[in-house]
Amino acid sequence: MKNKTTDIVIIGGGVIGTSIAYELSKNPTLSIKLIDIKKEGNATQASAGGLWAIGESVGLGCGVIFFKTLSKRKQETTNGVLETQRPHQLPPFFFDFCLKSNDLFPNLWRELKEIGGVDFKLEKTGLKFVMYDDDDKAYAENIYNSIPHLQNQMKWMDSIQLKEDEPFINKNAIGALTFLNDDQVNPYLLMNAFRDAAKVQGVEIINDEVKDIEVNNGKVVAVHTTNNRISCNTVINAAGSWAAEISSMVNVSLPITPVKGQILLSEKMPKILKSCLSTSDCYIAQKDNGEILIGSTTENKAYDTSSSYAELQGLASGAIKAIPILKHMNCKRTWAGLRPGTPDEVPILGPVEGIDGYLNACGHFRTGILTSAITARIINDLVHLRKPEIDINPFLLNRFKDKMKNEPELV
Amino acid sequence: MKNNIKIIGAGPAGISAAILLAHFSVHSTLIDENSEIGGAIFKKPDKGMNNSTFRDEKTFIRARKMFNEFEECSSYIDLQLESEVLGNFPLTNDLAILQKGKVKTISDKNLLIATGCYERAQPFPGWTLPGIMSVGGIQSQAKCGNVKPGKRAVLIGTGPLLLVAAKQLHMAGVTIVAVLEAGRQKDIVKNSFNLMSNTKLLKEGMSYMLYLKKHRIPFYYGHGIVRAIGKDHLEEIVVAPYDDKWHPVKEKSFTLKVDCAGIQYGYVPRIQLTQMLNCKHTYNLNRGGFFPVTDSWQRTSVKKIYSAGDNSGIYGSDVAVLSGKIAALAYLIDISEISIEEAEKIANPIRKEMNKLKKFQKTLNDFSGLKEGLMGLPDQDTIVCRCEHVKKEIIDEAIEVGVKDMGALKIRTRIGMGNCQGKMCGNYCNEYLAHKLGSSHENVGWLKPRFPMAPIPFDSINTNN
Repeated sequence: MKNKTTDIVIIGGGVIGTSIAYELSKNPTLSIKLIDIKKEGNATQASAGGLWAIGESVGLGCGVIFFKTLSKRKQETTNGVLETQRPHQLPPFFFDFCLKSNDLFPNLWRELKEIGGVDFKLEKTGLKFVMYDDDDKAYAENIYNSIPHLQNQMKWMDSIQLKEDEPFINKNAIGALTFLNDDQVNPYLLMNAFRDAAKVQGVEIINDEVKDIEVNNGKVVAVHTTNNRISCNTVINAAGSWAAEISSMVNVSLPITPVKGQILLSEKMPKILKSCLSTSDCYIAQKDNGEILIGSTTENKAYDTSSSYAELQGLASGAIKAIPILKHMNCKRTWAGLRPGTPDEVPILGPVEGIDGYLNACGHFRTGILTSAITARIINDLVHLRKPEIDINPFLLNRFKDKMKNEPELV
Repeated sequence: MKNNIKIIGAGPAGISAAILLAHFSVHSTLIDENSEIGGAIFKKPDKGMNNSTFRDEKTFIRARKMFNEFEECSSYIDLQLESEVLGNFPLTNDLAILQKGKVKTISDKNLLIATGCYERAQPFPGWTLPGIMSVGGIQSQAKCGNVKPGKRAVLIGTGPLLLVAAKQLHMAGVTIVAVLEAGRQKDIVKNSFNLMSNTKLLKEGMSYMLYLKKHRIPFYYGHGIVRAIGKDHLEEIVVAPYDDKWHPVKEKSFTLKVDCAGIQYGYVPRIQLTQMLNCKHTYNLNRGGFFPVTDSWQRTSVKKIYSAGDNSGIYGSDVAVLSGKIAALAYLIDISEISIEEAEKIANPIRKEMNKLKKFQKTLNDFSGLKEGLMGLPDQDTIVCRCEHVKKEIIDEAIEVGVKDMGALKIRTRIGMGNCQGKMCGNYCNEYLAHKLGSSHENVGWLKPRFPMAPIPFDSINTNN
């Protein structure tokens, strides 16, 4: 095995890189290396671990604050004329992408636990959008009516039902819209699970920094790291918020920028929440060990990952409003991660014209944990020259070629 | 108040800095999380204990002198007690402080960090049993409380605090079964010349030894902890002679029947704040591990941030007092209150004295320098991180799968994800990783401290009421 050329080099050891490594490693004839270097703000490690397939697609979860930022800007540009609060919804193909990925998790959980021994804590929680007033209700109705084909995955709750289901939620909440299959995992255990299973199946993990990608006659031939030259046929760019840096090595420009998100974490608490919550201020998820995670901001601060007071106050106040008992509970840590943001919030996957042997697997913005599973399958199909189970066209980089002016964009 | 330096920590270094500044009519804000000044070392006996035997303790007499001086300067010092610094917000240049249940922010410029140190935690089998405490913890119980920590106590570890605590506990009526010092007698004897540089402390140390002798308290050099045994509470301690590298010679181990034990292997500089403020740090195991690099004026690598006292590398409270003065002089130079020449004139004798004391302390630090035998004390199922219940075997597993630094160890095992953010287990883990991997302590790195450095109620940052 020693002197064999590597078939595939995966750049990036976050949830996307490791999930691809795992999926590809199912083919024992492939020789695979994953190159990873520690980066401050790695989104996988900062993530909340929500599998909010519908929630995120309709702009809940951390999308709420994203949406707020957008509508505030819109309001400013329209001289203060406030439009009706319409959810910031992603196109139908994206729903498909998320839902298909979500469906893969129960099997994944079994597989990964068996192969690598890591339990990534898949929890059936559901996601509730908690409503405080008529505006929230209108917002939720808008969501509900816009996706009639998914109404069997949603459930309305009035204030009495909500109180019964979640006794710690603000008594003044008027109800909730529940997304029944939007669950959660432990994000870094998921990453560990992918990585360990991939390792068991022969993937070599290298801690090093990629310095260059060697291209010969329009074809990728090697990856240069600080310490080595690794010759290979295929390179997969799964470098998250640093993907544009990697793509520039093959003269490809990716419209991916880091979008900072801050998070607060409580001390371990007894189980007080059945489901994950999204309000118009924040999202709240109680993890398997009892810690409550509160997120998240959407900020353009380049690669800064520091905590900032005003933003933490905003999130904490929103969380206390949702769960008043939190007032007396302790916050033990805060941190920030860098989501790999794209202009249309859709990942950039697949080949790029003119460069043979280069595949994008990046730009997963706020849904990388959820869509890691389907991303790995798509990339696996592309590597094996099969047609992916999902139409790849809306995910290709060339979609940005001749449009992108009217889309909302965070500046 | 045009110039106002914020001094974080009202221990020996912080107090002496504030006093020196006051002598130059320069105002300072002195911030401390406790309800009284004095820090850990000059902690006053409780008010109701005024007639206790401790009031004649040497450290307390020294402290009282300082407190009196501090009183006289009070008009220049804005003392903010029960104020806990929680970290910084670099984008807005703010420092976050918890006061009366609310977080407030102040500017993070002109800071003198004098946060001192805390006791290093040493994991060993049974160390989480009730009845086992840090020596400082057991000592403050004897000194400040009316509750005795136990009936039969043993003190194990290294350094002079073992002697101080033994005497204080004994005076409080606790039977001291033994005091076990890991350092070897020959190592202290061979360097006894250096100890002459601080005759005051040397005498003090001798007096403690004499006290033990007089009261027939057994004192062992070159011995240390092996394990603690007990069902719900400490019942027995197994100790043994330590070899050159502090590996216990287990076939010579013996058991002591005790209900309480004070254990101390080293101190750790409290550097979370200088870490968060991005000051450059260096590593020296015999001075407690990582601490900020300072110039000869106690300036850190970050402009307008000074560091003095044990958080700048362990040298003890006498050096802390002097380094606080040097840092105060640096601030006076930097705000053009005095000339460099003037400052030098004042600093010279202070530095001379400081070097003398450092020589003394270095001898002690070398004598007490932690050795690799301690790395092997925990069994595979011994808990290393108490907050997250991470066992030693989990750390070994992580090393096996390729973890090479503290950040990766945290993500892999959850060490440092608990309430203490790794203040307890961080040093042991760094030492163990470096030892196992043959890597440098710098490469293994540290657990990045995050706001808030200690847990705070969510309500303290709540804006709608």
